[in-house]
Amino acid sequence: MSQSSLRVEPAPHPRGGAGRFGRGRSGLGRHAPAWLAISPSLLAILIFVYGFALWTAYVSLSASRMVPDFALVGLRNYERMWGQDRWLVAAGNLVTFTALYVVVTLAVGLLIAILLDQKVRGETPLRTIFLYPAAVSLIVTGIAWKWLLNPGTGVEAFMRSAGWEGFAFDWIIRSETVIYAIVVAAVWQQAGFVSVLFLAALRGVDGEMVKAARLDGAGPIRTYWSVIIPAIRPAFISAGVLLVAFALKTFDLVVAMTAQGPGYASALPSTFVYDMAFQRNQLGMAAAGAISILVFAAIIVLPYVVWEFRKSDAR
Amino acid sequence: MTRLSISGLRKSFGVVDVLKSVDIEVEDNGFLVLLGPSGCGKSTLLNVIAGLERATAGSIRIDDRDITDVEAKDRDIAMVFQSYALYPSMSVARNITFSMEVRGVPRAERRKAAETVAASLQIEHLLDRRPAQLSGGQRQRVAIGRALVRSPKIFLFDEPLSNLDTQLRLETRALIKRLHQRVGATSVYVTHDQSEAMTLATRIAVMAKGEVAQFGTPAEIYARPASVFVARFVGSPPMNFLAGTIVGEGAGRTLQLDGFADIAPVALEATGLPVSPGHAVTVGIRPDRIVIGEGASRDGLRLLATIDLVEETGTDVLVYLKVGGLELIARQPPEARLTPGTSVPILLPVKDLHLFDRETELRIGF
Amino acid sequence: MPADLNPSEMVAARRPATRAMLYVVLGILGLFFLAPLAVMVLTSLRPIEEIRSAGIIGIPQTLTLDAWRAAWSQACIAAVCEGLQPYFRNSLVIAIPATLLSTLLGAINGYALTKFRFPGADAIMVLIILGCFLPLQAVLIPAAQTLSALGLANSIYGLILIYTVYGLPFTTLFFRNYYVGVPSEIVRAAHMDGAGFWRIFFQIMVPISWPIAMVSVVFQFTGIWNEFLFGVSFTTGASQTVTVALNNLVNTTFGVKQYNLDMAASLIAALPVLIVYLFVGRFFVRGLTAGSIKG
Ligand SMILES: Nc1ncnc2c1ncn2[C@@H]1O[C@H](COP(=O)(O)OP(=O)(O)OP(=O)(O)O)[C@@H](O)[C@H]1O
Ligand SMILES: [Mg+2]
Repeated sequence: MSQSSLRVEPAPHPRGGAGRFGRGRSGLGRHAPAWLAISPSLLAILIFVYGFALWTAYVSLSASRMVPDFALVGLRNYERMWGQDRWLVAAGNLVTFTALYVVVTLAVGLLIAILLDQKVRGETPLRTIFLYPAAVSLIVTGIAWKWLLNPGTGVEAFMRSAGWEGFAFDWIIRSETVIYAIVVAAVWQQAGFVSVLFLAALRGVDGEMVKAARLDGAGPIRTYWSVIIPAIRPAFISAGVLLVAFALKTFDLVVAMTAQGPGYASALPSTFVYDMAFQRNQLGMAAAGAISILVFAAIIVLPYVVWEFRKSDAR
Repeated sequence: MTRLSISGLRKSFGVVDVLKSVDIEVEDNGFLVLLGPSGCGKSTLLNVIAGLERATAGSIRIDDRDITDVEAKDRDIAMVFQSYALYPSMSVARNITFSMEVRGVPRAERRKAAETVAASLQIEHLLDRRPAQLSGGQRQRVAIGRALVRSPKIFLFDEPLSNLDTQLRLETRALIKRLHQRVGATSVYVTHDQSEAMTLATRIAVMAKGEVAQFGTPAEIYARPASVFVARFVGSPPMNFLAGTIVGEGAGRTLQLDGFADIAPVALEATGLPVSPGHAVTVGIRPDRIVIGEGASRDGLRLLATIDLVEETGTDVLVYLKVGGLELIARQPPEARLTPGTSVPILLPVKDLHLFDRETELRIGF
Repeated sequence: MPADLNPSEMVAARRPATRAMLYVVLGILGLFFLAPLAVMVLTSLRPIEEIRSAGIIGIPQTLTLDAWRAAWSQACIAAVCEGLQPYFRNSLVIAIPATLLSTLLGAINGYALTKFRFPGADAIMVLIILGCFLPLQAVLIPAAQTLSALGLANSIYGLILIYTVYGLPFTTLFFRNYYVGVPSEIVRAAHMDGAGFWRIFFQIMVPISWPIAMVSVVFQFTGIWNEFLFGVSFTTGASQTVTVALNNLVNTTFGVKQYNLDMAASLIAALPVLIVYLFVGRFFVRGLTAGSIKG
């Protein structure tokens, strides 16, 4: 082969062809297409996320009721809100719900993941069974569990008709326990998803470390507790933060399952906000509730995001 | 005719100066190797030449055209990456001819070009495969093909062989050398493997911390390293270093090894070095220049060493010697019969000594 | 012991008694997860009289599709008695464009922000991704006011806009995590081959993006299909989404509770996401966990 046969193309000779954006040494020019490409999204996020959140914060400090009112009233909406039993119940429920939901879901998810990680037969169908609830809406989840937990139609009725006359399972109709019934449904919906995250993390654990633990004489339970579970801590943190974010947003489940009842015993801040905004024409107070949720979310999420980005920078 | 000249080139990322004033000249058909330790700025320099990064100051010219501010695609430069950087979704043929596709060259012509290039790289049978279906060596050939098809004025290679095993590395190195001899395009090649540098280069630029520590032909760099850094970096096993002091004046100047008062100093008169009495120097000698045994009547430093360890490498023998508190490595022919633990006289011939200023670490003389 | 055991094999319960226990526990858990679906399916197939006398848990004596038929096309939601069918169509018309649009924009963002690291790119990325954690209540009121100011209140277009925008943080995050794993050298090589921003995106990035596009599409589609808060806040009457309509159907009570109808309606509303999940759930999980492990 000769040299000339390799020269299949006359080389282009752009005279001083500095390209469309190529002149400046430092200017934005070179990055213009990238800027252009993200600008619609960036603009939308700036307005719809940050702008709207600030707007809500403003409304929460204003005298708005049914229609926006721009007169500022300081923290009056917050004061009124914290003086309402409805809000206090909702806020208390949120704390109970979030704590139980996150802990139980993580525990059940981890249990499922560990069990599935034992080379079980039928892992694929089992995973399907555990995961499908995550695809189903919380409205559907709520409808199903509403009747299952209702003592007149569900588990209690079934056990009694099966001959266990004294059986009682009536969390959903009692004010003190209704929130636990909601936790049951919420765990059912998310545990499978969490187990998938954990299973992937378990399978990423360094095999040599596990071998080392075995050679050090650790049994299976010890190995899980002291070696494997600490190794998947990042998955715990990610899953935990996701679950807290879900918990703070929970709205539809309560609407479908209990409609905040009995009375408002199962209200959550999210249902409170919706009621105030669309049913009771108390925009100011609705905004105050919304901002309270946002602050709670920020307290949990911001440290996590900072941690995540530190981690990926360190690599 | 392609000459690449880089002058006063600076590149900083924010406050970090990654390149501080680089001056390099590559002649037509030249093969410049950038050699240096990890993080010294080799890839950055290559990226600036390619136009993938903007220079902070200085200029780059191809022949008489200043391309400092020209877009990468308009520089007529092709680059082969360490990770091959093949387009995963495209066939080998399309990978090779993507640049032509961008320029709107008709399909038939592209196919012909792909076949021509593939033939020269012996990858004709792979043209319709995807990168994922290739071995590392095959991928590297495709990456080279992608550069070849453009017949660029300048080829850039960023550690193209470092992901290959030893066997493939030698083969591909030879391939690159043959291609360069045939195509004859000016090339800049980054590596931190000095045997690659020595075999491929017409010029080597040894880089340290964003600066060119020495720029010259492979022979020059090996024979007259400009600094302790270069001397240590080029040559394997590395050069041995000892501390010394200049004694006496004029024609009576001698080199005295520090800590070896009982060893006869060696006369420097013949070498005509610009050194003054009391001058502290670093003395260097390459392992293959240390003579074990009496060394006949040659001039040099004569020491008594203990053989610490003997390593057979197959082609020759590495001898670890202890001299006082110092350790020296000597390379000897394989027939040398040496027993660890025994004492032997050694000779460091004066004409093979390299002298560096102890303060500045720069070569003295020449 | 073979040398290359993986961790699960190393600790896997091996004694027969332990393994039996393992399957028992898995069986019980499996029942807990399957029971609601089973009860829904069975109840939806039974006549209402039978349910009322025997409770919702039980084996059907007679099977009938009446409840399904009614839920699809006859049941009353408020005053309109057309079943879920029209709202089902609304949800499709909203979810499909919003899913595609947010996925495309997320891909562009992920590409631009990981492969063209211009000054400020990281900050913009954080700004966008933080949106994942936004409790939607915090933007509910301004969103409602903006939609009505734009004349998009109670309209399908309004919801498409809303779901696209609030999906962006997630789709951007997915593609970011995927694209950081794609060597930047590929983009540089294409650059040297003369390809520009959009050509590199469409000819080089898009063809290798289908695993993560799958994740994004499944996530967005199910999320939008199931979304309730915005749906119930911004739509009423004929423009309701199926999830909102389902809730209204269940709460529209004339006399006795129609359990079988509720269950059939719930299943109909859940069917598209269950189908999506059954067919591409595997890819979803694979793509998602690959990203989260890496990122
Ligand atoms: N985009 C960047 N921003 C900040 N610093 C950078 C950037 N790119 C490179 N550097 C820094 O510049 C220095 C030189 O990097 P470069 O990649 O050129 O080294 P190299 O000589 O090619 O090393 P290696 O042999 O490991 O490839 C390094 O210290 C690196 O951390
Ligand atoms: Mg490099």
